Amino acid sequence: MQPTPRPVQPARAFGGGGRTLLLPIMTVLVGAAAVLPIVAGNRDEVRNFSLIFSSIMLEAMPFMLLGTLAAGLIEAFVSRQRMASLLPRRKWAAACAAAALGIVFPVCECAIVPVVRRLAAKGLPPAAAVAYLLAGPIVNPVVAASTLLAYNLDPVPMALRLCFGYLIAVAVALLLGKMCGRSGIFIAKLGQEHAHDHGRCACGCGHGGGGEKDGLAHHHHDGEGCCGSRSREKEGGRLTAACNHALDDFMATAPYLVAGAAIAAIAQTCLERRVFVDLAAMPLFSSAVMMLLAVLLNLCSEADAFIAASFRGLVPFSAQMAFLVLGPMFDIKLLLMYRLLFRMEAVIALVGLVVLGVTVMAMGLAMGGL
Amino acid sequence: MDALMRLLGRWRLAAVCTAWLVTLLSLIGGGGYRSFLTPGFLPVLLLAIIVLFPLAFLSLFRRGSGGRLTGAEALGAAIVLLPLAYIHSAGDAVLASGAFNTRFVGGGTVMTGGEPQTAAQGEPITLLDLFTDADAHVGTTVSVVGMLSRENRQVEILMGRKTPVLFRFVITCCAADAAPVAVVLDGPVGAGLADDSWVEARGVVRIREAGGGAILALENVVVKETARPKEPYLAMRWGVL
Repeated sequence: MQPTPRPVQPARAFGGGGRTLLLPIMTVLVGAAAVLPIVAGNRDEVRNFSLIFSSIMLEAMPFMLLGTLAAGLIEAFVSRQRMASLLPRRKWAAACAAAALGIVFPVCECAIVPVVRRLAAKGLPPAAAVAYLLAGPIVNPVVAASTLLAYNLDPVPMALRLCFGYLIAVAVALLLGKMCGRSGIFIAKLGQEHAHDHGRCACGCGHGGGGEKDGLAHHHHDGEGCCGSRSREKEGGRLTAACNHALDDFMATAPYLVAGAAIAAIAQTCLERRVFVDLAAMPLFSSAVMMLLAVLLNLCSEADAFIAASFRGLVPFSAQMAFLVLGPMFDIKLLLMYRLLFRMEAVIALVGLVVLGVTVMAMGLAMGGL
Repeated sequence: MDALMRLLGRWRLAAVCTAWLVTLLSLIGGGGYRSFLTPGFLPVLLLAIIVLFPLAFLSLFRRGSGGRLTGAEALGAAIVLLPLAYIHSAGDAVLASGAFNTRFVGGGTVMTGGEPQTAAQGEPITLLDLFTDADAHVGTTVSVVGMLSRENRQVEILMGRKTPVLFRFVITCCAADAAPVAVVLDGPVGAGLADDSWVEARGVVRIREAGGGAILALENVVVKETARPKEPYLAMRWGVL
């Protein structure tokens, strides 16, 4: 059975959405940020900020591009029916399977948001989407290797990180679905964000934006991916459509990545890590402080083990594990990017559950003498 | 004005993609990416270029972009372009003593008895080699290259006095994950050498107890100015896996 065609809505642009005050404020902020390196580029803090901000962006941009391309390919080639046939029917089984997807498709946290956006729009169950989103950047071979190397080939931190990452992701995914109930966790436009600027379809099929008279209001019919045969003849195939979708996803997600990277760079430039070490020396606070550090530093999950390992002998192992498990699931840039996927209530619940899960894990490890 | 806004609306995506493409190409061509990333990241940058090429090309011919540029679209494009201003302004600068001061957490960073990262035959020993295989180097005379810092509050707390250190950053992916490694310089350091200058220090490796942990020191050290290395940051050798 085919779904009822819905008018295509334009993708939400950064700073848009009718918030009239936000646009000029953001414009002023961006303008000020643009002239900062010109007027104060010689200052030590500005130079450090420039280096860290640029580094985060250069590191994340390739993965973001690959993620958006993967998302475009999913949109163009994977139908809803195909998606449904790939996953177990039971919610818990789907979440368990999705949380382990990173082993086969290792994706870092910058790339995973656009991929999950498209998967969710294609009908990936919410629990499976959340499980993949949270576990994908941890439960994968690259992160396992880097954690092993950072901890001098000791397999215990690596095994604990992957196991707890998996368990917390599945638990949060299942709980989030229950907590949010019928209202759902995804933003309302997620299934409809198949359009781009000026109300025209992103895939280049030529469909207009607002409920077309020819009955071809653009939606993706079950049984085919984006842009069926008619548009393929016109525009040179699904590969072009995939690239067009990738362009839209890139422009939709990249501003959030830039904003998150800028905040992370400010935090990295201004915060003295020794302060965190001093605070973390207090047993009650050690895990909380290391979790806060993970949120502020916004490190890539492939590199954060080396930072955690540098805290050996300074903070308890349980606090290092809290840093390693929380960072890939929740940091400043992810918080901003999650808003492209989830309703605000769902983001708050997601963050709360992740923090709770990691805290319980850290307390358990601490009580176990680790 | 309307024509201009339509023109900007038409070329917005192409401008963003092309600007990023040109920046990545220039960073790779000139080797400037090494100021931000580990050399091992080069294949990933090349992959990004491979993805950006068709996107930039497609954006030139994309249909349905005939409308005026809206404020939100312009803002989105400006934000995506913003990092390019910082990348170009950073030039070939690298993290220096400012970052060392905020990131150095003390003696806990010394990994005695760790997995050897020993330099391959013929390659000079680095500060990373000393840190990851400290036991093997204690008592030997080595020459290592790094940046000079004469005053660091954390080092002062650890050592109980103002002590110059030789430091360098170890990165896994990029400068954001850079972790400092440092050795205390136990000996005269020429007054003409400024903070953040690249120097070569030759001395005997010792491990000192400091602040409840350990810190490496070079005894009887001789310090002389040297050129900035081709790779300003040190990188972990993944080959040990």
